[in-house]
Amino acid sequence: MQIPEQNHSVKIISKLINELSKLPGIGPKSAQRLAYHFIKLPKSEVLELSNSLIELKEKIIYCDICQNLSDENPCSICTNYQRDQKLICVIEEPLDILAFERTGSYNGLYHVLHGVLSPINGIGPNNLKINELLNRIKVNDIEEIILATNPSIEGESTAMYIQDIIVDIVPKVTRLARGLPVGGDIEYADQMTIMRALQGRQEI
Amino acid sequence: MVNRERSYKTEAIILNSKSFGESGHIYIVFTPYLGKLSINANGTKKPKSKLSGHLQITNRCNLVISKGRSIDTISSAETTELFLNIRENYNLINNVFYIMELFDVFNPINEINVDAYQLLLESLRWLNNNQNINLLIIYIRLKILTTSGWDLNFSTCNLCFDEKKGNLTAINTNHGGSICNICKPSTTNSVSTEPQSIKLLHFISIASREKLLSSNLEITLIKKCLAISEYLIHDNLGFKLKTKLF
Repeated sequence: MQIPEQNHSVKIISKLINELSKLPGIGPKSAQRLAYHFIKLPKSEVLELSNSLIELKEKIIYCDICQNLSDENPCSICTNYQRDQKLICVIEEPLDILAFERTGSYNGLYHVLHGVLSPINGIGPNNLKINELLNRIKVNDIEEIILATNPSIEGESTAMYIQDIIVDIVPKVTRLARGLPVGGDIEYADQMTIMRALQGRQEI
Repeated sequence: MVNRERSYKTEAIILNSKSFGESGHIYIVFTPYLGKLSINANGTKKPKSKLSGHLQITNRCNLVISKGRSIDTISSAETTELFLNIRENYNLINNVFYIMELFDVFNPINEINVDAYQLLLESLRWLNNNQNINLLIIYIRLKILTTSGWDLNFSTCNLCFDEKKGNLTAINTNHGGSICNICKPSTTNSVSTEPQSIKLLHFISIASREKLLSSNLEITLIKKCLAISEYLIHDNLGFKLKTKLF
């Protein structure tokens, strides 16, 4: 949304507010608040922020192997040979890697699809990094692929699609368990969640 | 006294969802008595969300919606009908995305269309049974044109009203359906086809779901009607749908 220039006497401030307003979740009021905050900040801090942004755009690249965002190619995960090189976890977005790494319980590699199949939004297999996954499987000796897409209808269809094309070339294709989340309430859970939880029940 | 109800209840089928904000979604839902709605739901990306499981695409659910200034917000949801077979079959998922997009584009926001809602519900139940999907798609395409006020006639020539089925050899959307071989040269943009295809289109447009499923229809003829019905939809909309029908 373009902020009318007459609302701010200084064109530079108007321009900054307009640019900040383009960011997701930042409306005109938030943009205005941020802009005036920047004015009060020491110049060094503002320069630090602007340099970080420039560095982000100049140095962040996609890892050729796993398609994750990284500042080196291949990324630090793919070049860490202490990790299980025969295990790949297929995920939707780079942020999902952070969630897995926080657990400290996964020691394999990743592959980022950068989205999910969503015909209703015009996203097909060619829009995702599925071919790169196939090439990776053909070249390396992969024993297991974990399909860790979200348990939504798009995530499920993406998992099914990938499973169909790799089932004959990978010994083991698995899907993350689905069901009740820790701290969740059975009373409020939907039928699908409870059904999945029942299907995935384990002996204790 | 002015009615200042702050919330309302409705039955709905989830057509589509889009990410919104940090942890929420905007849901496009189709209701029988309020039409198509675009409503917000907060926190649906979180694992412990009480709403997200109920608000999956194709779910039929009861919603309680709070009125907002610019957009209404779902405060509670409960699934009433789950089409499980669709979710577990890749082919059916692709078809359901197509059907959802069809209903999304043919129904403007807030325009009440009870017939269209019933058609959507019927279609989901049919698809869930995984029977003769091509026939279902043709059925939906013809019915959705009818519920949108665009009733095509395949029983007679729409120019001279000749009832001889053997003479009907073309379809022209500008003239409301089938055209005979005598009238065809005087029309523009007519699509030629066989009389049997037009006969089948007529049958599909008037028959019930049960009658269609119990009929033994030729597969090649169904495929031809599939192509014709796709043309009818494309011609009506003026653009191609994003979903690709597998």
